[in-house]
Amino acid sequence: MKHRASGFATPTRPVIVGAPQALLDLTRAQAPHWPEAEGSDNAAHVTALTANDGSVRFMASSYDAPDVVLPPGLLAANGLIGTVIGAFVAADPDWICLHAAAVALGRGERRGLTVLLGDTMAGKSTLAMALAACGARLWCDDRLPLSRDMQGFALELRPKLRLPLPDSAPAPFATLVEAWGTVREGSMVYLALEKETQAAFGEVLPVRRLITLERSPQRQAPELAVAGVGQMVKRLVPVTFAPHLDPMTRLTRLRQVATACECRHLVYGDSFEAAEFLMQGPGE
Amino acid sequence: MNHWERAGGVSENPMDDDLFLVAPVSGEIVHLDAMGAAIWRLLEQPQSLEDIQATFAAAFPDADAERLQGDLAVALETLKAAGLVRQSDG
Repeated sequence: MKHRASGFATPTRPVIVGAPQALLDLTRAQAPHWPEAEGSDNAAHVTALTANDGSVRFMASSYDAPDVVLPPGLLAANGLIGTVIGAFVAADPDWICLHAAAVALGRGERRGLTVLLGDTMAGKSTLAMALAACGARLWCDDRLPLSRDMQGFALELRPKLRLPLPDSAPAPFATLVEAWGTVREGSMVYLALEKETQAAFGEVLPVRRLITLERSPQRQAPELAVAGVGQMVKRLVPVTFAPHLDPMTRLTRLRQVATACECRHLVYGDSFEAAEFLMQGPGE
Repeated sequence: MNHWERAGGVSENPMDDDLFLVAPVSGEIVHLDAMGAAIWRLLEQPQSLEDIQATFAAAFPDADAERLQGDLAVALETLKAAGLVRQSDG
């Protein structure tokens, strides 16, 4: 399969991707505002290795990418985007990446990112989109590159949601998702938000608050509790991408992140109630 | 092989009431729960299993002895599997 080279501009160094044209096209469709870049001496490189059945895995010059075989289509495009992010983060010790959702909340000097942390299926994406529907600005629904000075970098990737929506989803939210929906693959729908609802590529904002999520269907009202630095670091360790930092340096960095933020633990039953609750500014 | 001791080269990073260890070979970051942290601190000097059990029994006199021994065995094996402690002949 013939490969083509395509450059991605990043906050650390250009990433040059070698991949089949169809995969590049799909990837650009999920990251339509990610600027292209020329190659340079210090560029990082990502290569797509395609099998005869169209499945693909990735190699990166700046870190050992996980040897995961992905089927062709949006999953492969998502995997390529993840590898590009990994390549630029791993190329610079000032950067790490959190597997998390984030939204901009607050006003004036208190405006900053609220980062939502949770295990897979904890409801990060749904809560982030519910917050966006309430007027918060979406920074990311899955991956947040974070600089040493605590600036969260927006990549303006298409957020995605799992369908069907929860039964508790308000009708206006379902209407928004219908309007935002672009492409669908399996149970996932990829969304195109308005400019005012999603941060543009390259926007940065300091991280002010980290919230670990615990969804409990029996919970009546959302409850936000203070979390200790150690407990927050425990939750950050498994969701932090930083293969270029030795473990003690990684722990020190995560301690700095947790110490610089309000650390909270949110127990909630319904994403939409939780979004309204967070929009009211509890704990600020 | 009745004694337990810390493996060499383990790095410690305490944070508030939490303790993080870094395994020397894998580089894995391990967060210790309260029992794991207590065992780790106890193993500053190598201990026999009987001494470890006796220390915990004295610290938790109301705990069911059989359950406590079971919890200790699980915690020690977890630490061992992570490369943080090892058994020796004493």
